[in-house]
Amino acid sequence: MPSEQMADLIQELNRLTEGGKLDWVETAEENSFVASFPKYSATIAEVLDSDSWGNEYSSYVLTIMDLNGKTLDSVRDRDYSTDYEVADGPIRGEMRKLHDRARRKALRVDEALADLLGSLRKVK
Amino acid sequence: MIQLAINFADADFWSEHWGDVASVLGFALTIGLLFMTKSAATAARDAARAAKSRLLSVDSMADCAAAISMMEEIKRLQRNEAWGILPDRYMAVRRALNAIHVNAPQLQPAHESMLTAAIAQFTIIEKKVERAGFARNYATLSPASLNSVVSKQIDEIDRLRNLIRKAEN
Repeated sequence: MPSEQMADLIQELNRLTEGGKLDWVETAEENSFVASFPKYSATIAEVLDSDSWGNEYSSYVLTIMDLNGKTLDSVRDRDYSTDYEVADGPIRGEMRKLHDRARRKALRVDEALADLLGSLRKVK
Repeated sequence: MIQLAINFADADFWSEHWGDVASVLGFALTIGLLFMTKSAATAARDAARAAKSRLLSVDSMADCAAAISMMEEIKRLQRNEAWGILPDRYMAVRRALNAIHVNAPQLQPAHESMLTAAIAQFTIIEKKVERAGFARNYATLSPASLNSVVSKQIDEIDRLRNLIRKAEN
């Protein structure tokens, strides 16, 4: 059973990311993004899993590393039961949101879309 | 105060109290010298601290330069797909970056985060390359993508070096 602290961490990372306070950047792994702090790093990754019938689905993994690059803790959304809820809703949904927000920040999606929209509006 | 002035002008006063006046003056002189000595000692200590801080910054800048050289070598090895020997290089550069962190207590939190970020990136690359090695499938690795990540770390550590230099000046 993953720790409550990790659930708290997920909420806090979501809050800070939504507030534009965290710099998420791409990593060498596809669909994986990292935010770094003075002594730790947090990566949020989307990974493909499959069930016993071979059906594929996305999972989200949050990993905390220390200064040496050692993994201190790692949690997958499916480690939490479906009814595990935090202040903002089911924790599984919060991890998916975190990944989406981190991706949008790292790839500067909002800036790109605003730029594209501006260009399109100039087209007569 | 007027009485005191009159007393000082009186020759009898001096003959009777010259020792007391000398004691007071000597005491005042001692206090003054103590303050001057303490100020000099404080100034010397501050100068020593500043010199030590400058030396640490020079060391940190040199360590950053060394880490950048290691990263540039990693790029060459990745370009040449020398995957078998790269994990050791990744570990070495992580250690070098961590050493900057440990040996430079004067770093600001933002600078520390830059180091932690680079360490995290090389950890992820190392795991990716090792997984490909275990699966005997290095074909899944893209030298161009990995070099792009390493180039960004070079830029960041170079930026860190300049920030340390600016902070010292």
